Amino acid sequence: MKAFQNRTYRVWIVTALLFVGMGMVAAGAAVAAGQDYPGKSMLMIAPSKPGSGFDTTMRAVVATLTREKLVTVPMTVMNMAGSVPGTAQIVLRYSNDPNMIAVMSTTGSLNYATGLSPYYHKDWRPIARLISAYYGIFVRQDSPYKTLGDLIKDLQEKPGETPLSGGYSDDRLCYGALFSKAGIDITKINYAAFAGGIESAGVVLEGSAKALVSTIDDVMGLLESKQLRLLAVSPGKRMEGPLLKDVPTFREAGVDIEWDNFRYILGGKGMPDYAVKYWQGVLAKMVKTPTWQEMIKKYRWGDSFLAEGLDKFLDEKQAVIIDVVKTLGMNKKK
Amino acid sequence: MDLLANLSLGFSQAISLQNLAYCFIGALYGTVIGVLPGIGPVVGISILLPITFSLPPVSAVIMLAGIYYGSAYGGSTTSILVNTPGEASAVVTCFDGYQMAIQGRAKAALATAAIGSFFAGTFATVAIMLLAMPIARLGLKFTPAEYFSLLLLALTMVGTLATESPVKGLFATLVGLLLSTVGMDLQTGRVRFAFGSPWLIEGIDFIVVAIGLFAISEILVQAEKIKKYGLQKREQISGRYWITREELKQSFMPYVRGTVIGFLVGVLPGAGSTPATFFSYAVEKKVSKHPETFGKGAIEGVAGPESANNAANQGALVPLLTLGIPGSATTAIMLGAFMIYGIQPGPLLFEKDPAFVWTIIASMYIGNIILLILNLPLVNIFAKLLDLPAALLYSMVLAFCTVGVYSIRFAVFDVFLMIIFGIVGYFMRKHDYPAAPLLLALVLGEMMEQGLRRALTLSNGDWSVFVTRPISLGLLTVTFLSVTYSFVKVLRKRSLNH
Repeated sequence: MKAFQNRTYRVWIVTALLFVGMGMVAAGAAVAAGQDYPGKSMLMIAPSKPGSGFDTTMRAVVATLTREKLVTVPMTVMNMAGSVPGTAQIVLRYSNDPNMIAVMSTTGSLNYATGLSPYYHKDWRPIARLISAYYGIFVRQDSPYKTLGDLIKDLQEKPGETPLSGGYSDDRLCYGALFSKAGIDITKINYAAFAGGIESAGVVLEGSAKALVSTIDDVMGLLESKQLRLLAVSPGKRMEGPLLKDVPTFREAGVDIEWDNFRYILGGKGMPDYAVKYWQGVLAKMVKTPTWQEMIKKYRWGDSFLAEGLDKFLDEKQAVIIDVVKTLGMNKKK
Repeated sequence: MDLLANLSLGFSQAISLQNLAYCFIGALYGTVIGVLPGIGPVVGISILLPITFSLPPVSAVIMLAGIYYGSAYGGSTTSILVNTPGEASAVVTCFDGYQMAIQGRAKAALATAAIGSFFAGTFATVAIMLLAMPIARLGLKFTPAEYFSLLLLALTMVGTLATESPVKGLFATLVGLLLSTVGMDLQTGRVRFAFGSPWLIEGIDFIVVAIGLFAISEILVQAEKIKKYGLQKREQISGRYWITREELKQSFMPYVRGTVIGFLVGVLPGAGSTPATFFSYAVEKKVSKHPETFGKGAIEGVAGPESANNAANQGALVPLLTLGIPGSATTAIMLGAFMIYGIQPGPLLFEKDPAFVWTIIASMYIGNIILLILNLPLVNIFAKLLDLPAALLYSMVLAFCTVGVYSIRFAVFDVFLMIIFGIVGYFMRKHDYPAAPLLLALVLGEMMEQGLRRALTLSNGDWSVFVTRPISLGLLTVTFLSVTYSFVKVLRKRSLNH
């Protein structure tokens, strides 16, 4: 054609072809992005201080994924000051970052129910529930209480002389739910709150407090060294292991309730579907590995993997927690 | 004897090339972490944690422990050189350490800090070795009531920290107490004075306030000096001499007192090393023949707190290793790390796996030696920093402080808070309001309040619990006597003047 002999035309055609070519490559890249995920390093957020439940969970996940070679990109664990500013950061800063995942638990739902945090699970994308941590009611080894019923009796008859101790947030939620279901007037109970289960153990060991409410993994050492004794545990069915298999559940001990602190992995609200699917796949594989099984045995966690139906589970749990919080009067924060 | 056999077993494992290397790395990293303002051992340990997962548990714990007490060595360096506390327990060192540096005695200050740390670290390790279990049991006797009484005693000692005007000191104390109430109250779960900001839910971070009141205010003061007098050629204030025999003699008893105080306070779960340093400073000032030199470069004011710092860190390991109860925020992380390694600290650990425990203890001795060897030559190098032109040096300090404070929890809010307190600190200096009582009240306020309310919760509202429990009664009596004595002294001085 005559056009091709004109140099200007040739330049224009080549340029046009280049643009089309680039466009195709870009489109191809957008599609391929799904295939290349995660591509670069992942940010693993544990929204509380190092050493806390979130932190140990997330680190256990990272350790397992690394050891079992399920994820090959670098994973950096980032801690936050606390669950409330932590969730705020996750929502405000990382909602649209596909290379961020975080861990959350009952605490998130609790903070929302009490009004401490404006965010809850609808502000992010839940990916998969991994574990449940269970609570126990502990007493000192030489305590006169032999069953949960004994303790409940004293709480009903002489609440002023039966002080309890435990953590200030989710431990307190468990104690509130348990004892109000047992028919006790919560407002009459003296509950000394500490930062966590293990910190609350001191006053029980010394004798000033009569019983301790704590997640079991927090005080496992004291249980093993026989300084504390378990009255009852919170899951629906009995737990495993030499120290736990003979301990009745709340239900068996007479209070019709089961309670747990579930922990789940989430991504930002804007996380693309391919990223969610990727992590659901990886985590499903992870929970079957021997390393992970070892981890949960070590921490006395319950294996409660759930990906399909997690949103529905969270909706239901949120409703229950809002209810308990109202009963306990914990929502008078604003 | 059993003890020596165990110890030699421990040493034989601890001096393996591998474990020595990990100890060294941990100690070095810990020193750097301590030097950097804002980043403390809490953050430092959590950053290095994943790397330790692939190590054998003994080596991992050796490295963690190295970081832990290494940071106690490093924190005082910037306190002395540029009035910037590297971590919370190094704040007290600013009081006299920086004054010494300005007077050209920086090397002496740095040297006494290093030597005191070594002294305390070594003797505290001996104490752990010999007295771990009985001391831990004693520590358990400290219930919330005793904590309250102890901290009340500490706050009354604050009076001695106010040099010029006791009224201004009292005012600063009250401001500190007020600031300590900001944040969530554990007993009710309610948030106080947060004004809707999620950043204040955890309360106001002590180190942010300290860096603001000390470092930033100093930067402002220096900037003002430059504005008034222009960029002057700075005289060589790094100092010629290292540390004199006289100064070492003066430091010795403070080392001893600091070690004892630090260890005992450190053993109490929840106390931590920061209150220990304040205690030591107050005690040194009270027993000194020249209390008026404190705040102006008294070497005892550096020697005592630095020893207390290290001793308290070692002391915090006691409840951790013997009972599995963390004594401070840093030991809480270490507990988490132990669990990941598969170690369950507690009385069973000593029985089931003595080799493990004794290797750790042996490596603590070694670590302290390594740190001394590391830090003493560094004294000269660090002191040279003071020869930098003031404008350059303090600009660098500002940059480090900003990054350090931001890195605590990735919050610009904290940086703004630091700046605000910097400005507040500047005005406080101009009008002679002492910063020390404010900081002490801030650090102790929460513990004191929680102690009071937990004690009352456990006693069902019975206030007599504070005087019926013997330890608490003892502490309150000392407090009462000390306050009365101070009043009597003041009244007597007044009547003499009339």
